[in-house]
Amino acid sequence: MLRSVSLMLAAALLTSCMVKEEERLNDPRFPLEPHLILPVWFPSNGQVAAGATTGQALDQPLPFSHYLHATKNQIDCEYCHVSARNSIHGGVPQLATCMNCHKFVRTKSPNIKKLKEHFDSGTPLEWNKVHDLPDYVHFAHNRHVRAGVQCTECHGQIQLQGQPRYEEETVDGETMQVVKVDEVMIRETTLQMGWCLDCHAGHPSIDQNYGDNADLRRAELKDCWTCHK
Amino acid sequence: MNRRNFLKALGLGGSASALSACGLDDNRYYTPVEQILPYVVKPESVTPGTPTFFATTITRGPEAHPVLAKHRDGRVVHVGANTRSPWMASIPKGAMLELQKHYSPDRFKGPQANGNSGSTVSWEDGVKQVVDAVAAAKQSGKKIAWLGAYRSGSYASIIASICDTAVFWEPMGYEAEANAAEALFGTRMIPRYDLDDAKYVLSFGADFLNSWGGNRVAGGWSKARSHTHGHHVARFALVSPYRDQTGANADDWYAVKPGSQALVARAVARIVATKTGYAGPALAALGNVDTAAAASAAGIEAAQIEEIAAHFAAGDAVALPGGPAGASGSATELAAATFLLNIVAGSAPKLFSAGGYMAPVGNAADVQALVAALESGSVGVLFVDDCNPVHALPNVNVKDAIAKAGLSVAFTSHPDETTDACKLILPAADAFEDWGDEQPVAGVTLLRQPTMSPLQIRYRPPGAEERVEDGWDVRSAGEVLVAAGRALGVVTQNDWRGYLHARWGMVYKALVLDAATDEAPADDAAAMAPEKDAGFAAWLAGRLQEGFVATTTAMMAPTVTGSIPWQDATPPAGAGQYNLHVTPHAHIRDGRYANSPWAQELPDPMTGQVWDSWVEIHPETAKSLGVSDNSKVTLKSDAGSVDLGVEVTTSVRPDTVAVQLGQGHTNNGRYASNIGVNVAALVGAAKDPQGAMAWQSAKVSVTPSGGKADLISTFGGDTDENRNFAVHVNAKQFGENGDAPQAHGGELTGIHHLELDKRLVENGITDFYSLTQHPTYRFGLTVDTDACNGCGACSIACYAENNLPIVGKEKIKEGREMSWIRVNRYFKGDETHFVPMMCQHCGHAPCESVCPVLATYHNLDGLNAMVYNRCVGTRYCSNACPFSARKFNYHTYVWPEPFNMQLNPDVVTRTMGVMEKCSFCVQRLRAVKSAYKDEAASTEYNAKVPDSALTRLVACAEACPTHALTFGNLNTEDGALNTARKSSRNYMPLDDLNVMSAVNYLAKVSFHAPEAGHHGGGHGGDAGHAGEAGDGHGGSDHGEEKKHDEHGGDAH
Repeated sequence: MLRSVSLMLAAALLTSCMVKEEERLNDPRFPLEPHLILPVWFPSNGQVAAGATTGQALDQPLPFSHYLHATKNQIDCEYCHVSARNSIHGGVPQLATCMNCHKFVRTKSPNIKKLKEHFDSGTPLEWNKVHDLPDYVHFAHNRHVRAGVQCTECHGQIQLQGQPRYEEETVDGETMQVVKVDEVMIRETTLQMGWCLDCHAGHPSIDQNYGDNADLRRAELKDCWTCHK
Repeated sequence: MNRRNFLKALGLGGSASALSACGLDDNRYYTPVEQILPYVVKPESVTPGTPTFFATTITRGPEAHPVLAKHRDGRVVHVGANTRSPWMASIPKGAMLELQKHYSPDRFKGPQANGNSGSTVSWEDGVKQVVDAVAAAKQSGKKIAWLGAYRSGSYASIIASICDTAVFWEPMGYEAEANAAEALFGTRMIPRYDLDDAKYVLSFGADFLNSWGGNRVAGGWSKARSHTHGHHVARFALVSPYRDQTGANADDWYAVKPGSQALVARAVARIVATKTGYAGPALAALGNVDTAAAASAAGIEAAQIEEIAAHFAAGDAVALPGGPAGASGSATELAAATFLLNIVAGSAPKLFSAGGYMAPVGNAADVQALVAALESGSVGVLFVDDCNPVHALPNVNVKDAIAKAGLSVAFTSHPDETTDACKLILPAADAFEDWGDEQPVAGVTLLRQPTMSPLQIRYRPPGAEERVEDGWDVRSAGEVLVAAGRALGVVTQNDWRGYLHARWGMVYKALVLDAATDEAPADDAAAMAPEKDAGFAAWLAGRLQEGFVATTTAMMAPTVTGSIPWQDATPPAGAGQYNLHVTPHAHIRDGRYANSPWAQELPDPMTGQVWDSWVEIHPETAKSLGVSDNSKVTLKSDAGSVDLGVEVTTSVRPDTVAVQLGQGHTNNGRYASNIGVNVAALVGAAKDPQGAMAWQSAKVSVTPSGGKADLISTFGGDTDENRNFAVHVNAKQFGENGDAPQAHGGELTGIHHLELDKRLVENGITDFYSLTQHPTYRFGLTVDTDACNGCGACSIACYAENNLPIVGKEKIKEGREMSWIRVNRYFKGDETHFVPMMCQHCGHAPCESVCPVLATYHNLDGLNAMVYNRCVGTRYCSNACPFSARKFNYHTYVWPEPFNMQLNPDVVTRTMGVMEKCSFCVQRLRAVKSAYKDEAASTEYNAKVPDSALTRLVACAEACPTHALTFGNLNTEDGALNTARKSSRNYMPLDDLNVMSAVNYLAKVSFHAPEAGHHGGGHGGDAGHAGEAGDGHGGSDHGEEKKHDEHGGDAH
């Protein structure tokens, strides 16, 4: 009760305190973002780990199943996510990578047909971001992968996600089992700062990699400017 | 409800009222769901999240620079130096401004007809109009004309083959030098200057450290000045009525009367010839000149001319021409006199040689002739290319003349006053999008390649209806020219690529095919079209990766074959009491970068003025006129009048007033229009006898009009108030050891750290506070104030790298500029010191102890870290900072599209209410550490990034044309940074605060500074009095002190 009252009070207070600088804000040369009074109560940029809530799936353009690819067919993560070892981005694969196999595999499935349409027309798929860090965070996949951190430590049991169910459908007069996936991907971890620091303070790879200097490395890893940009 | 939950609830309420269509995350903040759009087919050279560097060529003509464009996720975000290039291995300030122009919201989005606000046409229509008009002009015998900025290489070649008249002209260009070379040497060119080994540089006004000659001359000067390079310190003398930013670096300033420089140069040359015993053809070409008469015309003493000549005859001296500052009624004569002076002194070809810029350089007279031809109706097609004569020559009726051309076509990519007069605008691809080449000097061809696809604001699926507002539909000017050339039958290739490959094929043939004598001779087909040779593609790919093709050519001394008629002094003429001196704007130059907000917001190096025009008046003159800083005055000449604010300065003769060209645009985009005044209106259209523009030819009256102008300077004052910001050392004393590492560093300045009470030292107590331990790195920076010439390139590079917002004049008035580096200008006697000031990353940072939320703290690498998320905006830190290095975000600034596409993705944009400041480019430190870890294939803790990878790592150090900034790790004992710090010139501003700055400075070397006494290490206030101030701080205990100075302390 107290919570909701304070909530409403806060909302009312803040909306009423909108600063009116219309002229200044719309200057085509030096535009400013409209702001609320009491800016100090907001964390910068107003966001922490963004995107979906932990455990919540987002709509995706294709019913992609990590389970089918990584577990059933035993495809290595880095076959598709090629830049995980070389770049700060893990890298959602280019469609050409999908087509390496799907030129031949299950080409009649309506899902793969949609994929091929995108590939042929040069239109990227628009995936909704599930693991989304705020813009002020520098996260380097390559440093984590190379230090020996497993994909699953941050991404959860991703190889089991996207459990498929099969539905019989008739496509172009042919009846086939079509893959349906209810939850393409969920974020199993919180991706919040405290959660990051759990590892930065005590991940076993630090001892393994740094030996006698592990304490120093842990101190370095706890530095704000290791991640905040 | 605890505090944290309360804040969360508050956040929810506030956000809920402001945002919609967002997801609710774990913390109950509403946050947007973002999309990932992977490549369909990823380009081989691109890895998302990792920069790719493309070698290309930025800026044009004699100032073409090879650079590396930093391409990140589909767009160019920064420009870096191409250090492999043999020609100008640093970034010009213009490269950053070109980058901003590339993303300018005012760029033409596609072809349009009838001026800047005309109707859109398609490229196909536009090209067809050009082709038809060119064919019709040929049939009817009308001229095809070109009026544009300097172009060399393939563009110059195709333009020459298509156009009957091609005028390559820039308002403050090199026409006097080209005229003089034509008259004396029989070749129209801009000679080449190599200042690296000069011992005496005599400039007659050329702005060679900023807008004249490109970075290479500035870089050469800093080498000449650097004791480590040649074991001497070069001396720089300026002969000019006005002292601009370049002139402020002069050791001796002879403020001669305008129009007398040529006489002075000839008088000096006559004396030098006598001293060197030169008796060649240059002596005859010099003619007779009386030293006393020259001195009297110049308003200086004859002894001063003798003094200059004595320095010059001592060897390794080079004279630089006047550039725009010397463009009086004898502009060409001045250039010719300096050429002859260099020859009689024996400076050619070592410092002055013939193999310079060979592409065409037009005269103001050529422009006027073209205007006359246009008015007579004899021009069928006029091409205009990045040139704005309507603005630069307001007293020549260019605008109406252009209207009389059969078809006027502008290739300019941004709106300006001249494009507004054109019938057809075909916005050309800029340097980041085009193919091409440049030849800044003989023997060097710089290649230009596209570094990104044309700009698109929004993603548009292929097949969807095309909308112009989605992106910029620009094409290479070369494509249009090839089409026109084919219509005329002078070009055989099908496209611009084919034309370039045919030309590059000839280079390939000369360098590779013809050189390979041991192989079978190339077949006929390859000889005819070498670009079809099997090896060409691979060869070209290699050259494009490097960005240049260089052949070694011996430097030739020019031979004097002609002469030039000499006049007497040519003082400005007309009604009015004062001489008008017109000088290019320090950043905007002749007006080309006026629509770049970076160039407008960066303070003028000498006055600190922003976003305006002003008139510089000598204090005596100001007194007699009864005006002071910011008074409003009217300048009136025979040609026109303008209203300006006054800046009182000693940088100009009392009988002269100076105004910068480049402002006063009426139709040049949102940032340039209606800023300042166009001083060209006062000048008229005077030329010298050879046809060069005579900018310094007008007299003006100055009438106070009462009231105050709206000028705003970011400078706090003229002196450092003896607080050790501007420090100089005596050149002779410095010359004994130069920058060779000394035992301690700072011997000549005596300002390196606080002298401690001897009793404390004896007891091993060195500091009240304990220092943070820096086991691996302690990053630091050294700024050489002798090499720094005040150009401000560091500051612009910082804006580009760290996403600093532009706030505009109104906010600067409130003191809210966001620049992380400000280049302070201090006057110390006759000397000018430029001291770039950024966060000093103090070991004992006053800002850290006052922050109530620990948003700023010292990290293990010695950085004074700033965590924006923690900052609550108390501004205590800013208050505590003795260097005023911190900037507060009073607003959340927004970048008008598509400026936002230039933002560096490795740096967050700050929001309202947080403090920010220099981070030592922590994002680059992260990247280089990561790269080095991969390279070393090692996670070994002690594997440090090698010093060589750090020296120019930070954006400011990378951008500095004179390498005045040295970055590095203070823990690397023998690194470049520690070596620089052991120089006897080392000093720390405000050293008595004992803040243990990580940024140290090297004092200016001065020929006029008094000699310091025995370097007792005295903690002297003014270096000039270091000898006296050293009393009581005997030098005997220095040996012990070394052990615990600020660097040593951190290293252990």
